[in-house]
Amino acid sequence: MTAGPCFDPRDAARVAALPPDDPLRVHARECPRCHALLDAYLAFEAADAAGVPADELADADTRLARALATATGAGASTAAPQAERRADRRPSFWEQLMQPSLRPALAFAVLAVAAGAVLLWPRAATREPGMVLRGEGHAPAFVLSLAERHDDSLHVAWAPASDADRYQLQFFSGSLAEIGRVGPLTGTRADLMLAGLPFRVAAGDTLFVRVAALAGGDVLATSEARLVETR
Amino acid sequence: MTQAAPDHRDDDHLFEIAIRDPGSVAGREAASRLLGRHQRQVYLWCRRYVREHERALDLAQEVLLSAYRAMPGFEGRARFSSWLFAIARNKCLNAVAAKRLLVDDDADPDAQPHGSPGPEAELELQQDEERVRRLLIEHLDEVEREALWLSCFERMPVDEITRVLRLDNATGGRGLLQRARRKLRAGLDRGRLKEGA
Repeated sequence: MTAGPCFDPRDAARVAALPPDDPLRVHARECPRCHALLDAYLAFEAADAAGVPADELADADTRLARALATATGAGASTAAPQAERRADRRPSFWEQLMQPSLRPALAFAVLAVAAGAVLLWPRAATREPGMVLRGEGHAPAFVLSLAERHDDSLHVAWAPASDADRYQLQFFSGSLAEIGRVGPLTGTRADLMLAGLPFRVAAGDTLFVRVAALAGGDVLATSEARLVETR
Repeated sequence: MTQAAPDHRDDDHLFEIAIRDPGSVAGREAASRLLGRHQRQVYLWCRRYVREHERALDLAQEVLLSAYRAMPGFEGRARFSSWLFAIARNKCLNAVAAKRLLVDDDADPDAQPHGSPGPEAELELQQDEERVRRLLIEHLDEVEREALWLSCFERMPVDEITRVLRLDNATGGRGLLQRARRKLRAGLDRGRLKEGA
């Protein structure tokens, strides 16, 4: 094998551009590590989408563009060329509601809701407290009614969430670390074989589950997390 | 279906604007555009590893946001695409389980193939990359070496190895890896017999 320094992954593009008889390029062919790394980089560059459904590609494009726009604070129009431009969009319902002429009525409505919440608070406080998990911060808005584990299966059921078109199950270990997800699912019940889960569950393991209601890939709401009870 | 890689000269131009004044509107928009040009590449790479759309999306988002946070420290000596590849590679390696060097992961975990040195010795061997490299060169041909390295150290799934190496025979990457492991075990076995002689 030609002696020569193995290259850092960050230099893969530079090595790939070298002429075939360059000593570093020769070494990269002969060394299993460098050969594998170079071919991996070329596969990354090729971005072969064969076998990936077009709707998932489109969903990835949209959601990643939105995430970048949010993270960088840049306008959505620069990150996603197909996103509608702000100037061309009709005012949303909330923008119409926040017009100056409607603000007094909106303020009254907020006060009325707050008063109602105060009156109802004692009833709400008697609910069984759910686990608090880090996540997108969506307020629990629908009920997870069943979370049970039998010998080799797991059963989860939930009430439907309005406007949701799919649901995703999110699983957490006893230390509240997320260990896997199942979905997206249609319907409001999932009967799963333990062996088919994307993570391993041993007998006696503590497992929590939470359901996320999705619409177009965005999370609308999440249920409270619930301990999966063993039957 | 492949997507043409973004022109690196455009990357250089956007990167200059992005790091000149990262807090400015122009800087943030340049960073967003630069990463946006590569977002599909990153998603497809992550999908090769985690095999499922939502997990690939989560991982791709982590990669892109890590790259955005690290951009001020990227001095531009490497090409942006390979710098981004390095970040995506690290995230994906951490997201999947390690593969064993000498035994097929789909094999019966209770069976010990002939010539295998045992799990602890195998783990010790696998952590010594330099020694593994020498052994692969000694006992395997070029394609076998690369396939085994892609599996064990790049943690690439078997069907992706088939695609990367452009294998078109019926057994593809799986058959190649089985053969490579068998030859490596036999080579190690012969080496141990010689030492014992």
